[in-house]
Amino acid sequence: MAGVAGGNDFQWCFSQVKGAIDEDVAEADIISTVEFNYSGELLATGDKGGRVVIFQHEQESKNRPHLRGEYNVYSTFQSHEPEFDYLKSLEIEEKINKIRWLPQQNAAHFLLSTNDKTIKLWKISERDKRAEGYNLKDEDGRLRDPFRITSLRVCLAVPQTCLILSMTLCDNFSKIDCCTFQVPVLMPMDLMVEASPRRIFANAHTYHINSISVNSDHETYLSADDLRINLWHLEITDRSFNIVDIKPANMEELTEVITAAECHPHQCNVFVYSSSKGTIRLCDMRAAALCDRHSKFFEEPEDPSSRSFFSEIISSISDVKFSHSGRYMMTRDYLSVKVWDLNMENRPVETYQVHEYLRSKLCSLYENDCIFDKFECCWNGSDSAIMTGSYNNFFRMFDRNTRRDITLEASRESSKPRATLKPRKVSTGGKRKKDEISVDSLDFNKKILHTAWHPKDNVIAVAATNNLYIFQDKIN
Amino acid sequence: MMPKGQKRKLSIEEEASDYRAPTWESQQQFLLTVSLNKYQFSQQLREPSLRRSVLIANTLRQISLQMSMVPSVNVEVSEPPGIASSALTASITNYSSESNFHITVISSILAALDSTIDGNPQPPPRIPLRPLENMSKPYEGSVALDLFQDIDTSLVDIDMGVIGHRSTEGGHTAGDDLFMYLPPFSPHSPFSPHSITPTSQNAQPALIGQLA
Repeated sequence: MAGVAGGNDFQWCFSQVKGAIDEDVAEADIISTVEFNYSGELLATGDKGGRVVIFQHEQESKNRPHLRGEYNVYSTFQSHEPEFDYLKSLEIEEKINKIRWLPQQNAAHFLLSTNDKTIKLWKISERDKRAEGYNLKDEDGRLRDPFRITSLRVCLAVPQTCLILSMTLCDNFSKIDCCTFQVPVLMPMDLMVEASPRRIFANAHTYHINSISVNSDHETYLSADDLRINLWHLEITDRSFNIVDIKPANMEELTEVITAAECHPHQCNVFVYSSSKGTIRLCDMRAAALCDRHSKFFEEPEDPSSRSFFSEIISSISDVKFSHSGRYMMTRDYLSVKVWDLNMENRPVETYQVHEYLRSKLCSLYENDCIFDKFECCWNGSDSAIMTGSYNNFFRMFDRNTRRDITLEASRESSKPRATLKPRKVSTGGKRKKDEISVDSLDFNKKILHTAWHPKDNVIAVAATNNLYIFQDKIN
Repeated sequence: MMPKGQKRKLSIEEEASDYRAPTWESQQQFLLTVSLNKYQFSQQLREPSLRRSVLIANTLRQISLQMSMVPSVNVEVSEPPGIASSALTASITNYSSESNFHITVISSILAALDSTIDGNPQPPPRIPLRPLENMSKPYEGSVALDLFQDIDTSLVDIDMGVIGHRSTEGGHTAGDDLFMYLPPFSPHSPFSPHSITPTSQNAQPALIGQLA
C-alpha cells in the first residue's frame, strides 16, 4: 500500500462530502463516531442525535475504471433515544459514542452501537423481494376471515399449487375441493434496507461507556466505562462479566479513570486499556477472572524539563488502537501520537508530534476546555501510516517508514471533485510565510476528533463537526 | 530551565512552572479559581464527566502541593520576622489552606456523588417536604437549605449542588460557592462554615468567564 506524505508518487484528493453546508450547525448533527466495516464496503457514522447513517461503496463502473466508486447512503436509523434516569435526576444522552462492526457471516450486516449507558446490536439486512399471494392474509396485509379458511384444500387445476394433502374438517378424508390454497410467489421490489435491533445490552454500566471492542472470537465483546470493563457474549443480554474494576473503596481517593479499551486483533484473551494518567495496561483473561492485575504496564517516564500544571491532563490518553498485525499499539494523548511495541513497556518506539505549537498555549486551552478534547487515531490497512485529527479542521498523517508527515485540511474550499489537497502548515516562529496560518488564527471550534481509514484501500473518512469528508488517493 | 536572575520574556503559561517568578502567586490563584469554577460548571452539565472532574481535581491537588512546598514559606502560622514576609506567609498559608479546603470539598463532592451512583442496593427513601409552617429552627448556612431540613443529608449533598447553584443569579463569587458546597455534618472536615472568610479571592468573573 502506498505511503502517506505528499511526493511524486502519492497525493490525497477530495472525493465527497456529506452533510449540510449551513453555518448554523444543529447539535444533533454533530458526528460523534466514524467506522469502516471489515471489507470497507460500508462506512458508518453516529451522531449526537443518536442516529446512525451507513454509507455503501458503489461499485466502480466498468466504463471508467480510473474513478473509485462513491459512498452513498445505504441506511439511516435512530439507534438511541434520550433517556432520563429518575433515580439520579440525570438525562442520559443519546449521543452515539462508538460504533463497531461485526465481521460479516451471512448476507446481513451487524454492528454494535453504544451511548453512555446502553449497547445495541443492530442487524442491517436487504430486502429486494416481496412475497405475494398469501393464503391467510389479503394483499394489503389484513388477515382473512378465519371462517373462510376451513381447510387447506388442494387444487390440481392450477399449476402453482403444491400437492399437499392435508387434514380437513370434512369427514371424507380424501375429498379434494377447488383451491383456496396457493403458494406465495416472490416478486421483485425496490431495494429496501432494514435496520432492526437484535440485542440490547443495558444496565451494566454505572459510569459513561467510552469504548466497545469486538473480540477476535467473534462471539464476545468488551465495553468499558470510566471505572469498569465488562465482557459480554453477543447472544446474552441479561448478564455480563466484569473483568476490570478500578473503582476505589473510597471515591475520594479516585485519581485515575479508564479512557479507552480494545481487544487484541488476534489473541482473544488479550486486551488493553488506557488511563487518564497516560498509562496503558495489557491484560490476559486467562490469568484471572478479574483482570485488575495487568500482565504488562506501559508508561513513558515523564520528561522533568517539560513538567507543568497541565502535564497530567495532556498525558491523558484519549484513544488506543492495536495495529492490524497485532504487534503494535498506538495511543493518542493531547499533543502527540505514540506507537508502542507490545514487547517493550518502558517507552514507545515512535512518537509523533501532532500540534506541538499548542504546548505554550495550554493555560488558555485549559480555560476554554479544549484541553479536554478527545482525539482519536487510526492505522492504515498495512500499518505503515497513522492518522489523527487536530484543530482548524486540520488532520495529520504520519508515514512510519519514510518518517514524513503531512497536514491536510477538511474544508469546503478544497472540495472540488478530485481536487488535490494542498498540505497546510502552522507557523510557529515569528515570520509567517505565505500560505501558513499562525497559531492564534486557528479555529479551536473546528476540531477533527474522529477519523477512519479504509481497511484495504487509500480511502479515508474525516468527520468535521457535522460534515463527513471522504478523501482518496489520486489514481494516476 | 533558565538560571535565576536572567531577564527573559515569559508568557503567563511559561511562568506557571517557575515559582520564583513574580506573577506565580497570581497564576496559582488564577488556576485555582478557574479550576473551581470549571468543576462547578461541569456538575451543572447534563452529563457531568467523571474524567474531567478527576483531571481538574488532580490539577487542583497539584497546585495545592506546589504551594505548600515553596521552601521560603513556613506553613504554620507563626510569628514571621518582617512585615513583607509575614504578609507573604499569611497569604500563601491562606491560599494553601484554602486549596486544601478546595480539595476536601471536591473529594467530598466526589464521595457524595458516588454514594447514590453505585453500591446502594436500594435507593434512599424519598422523604416528602414538610409544610413551611411546621418548620423549626432554620438550618444554619445557606438559605436554600431551609426547605430541606427534614431530609436525609446524603440527599441534600446531591441536591444542594444543583439547587443551591441555581438559586443564585449569575456572577456569584467563588467564595459564595464554597459555602454552598460545604458538607454539613462532615466530621473530617477541618473547617466549619463560619471559620472561613472569603479572602481576597481575586475572583474576577469577567476574566474567568465560561468560554465553552
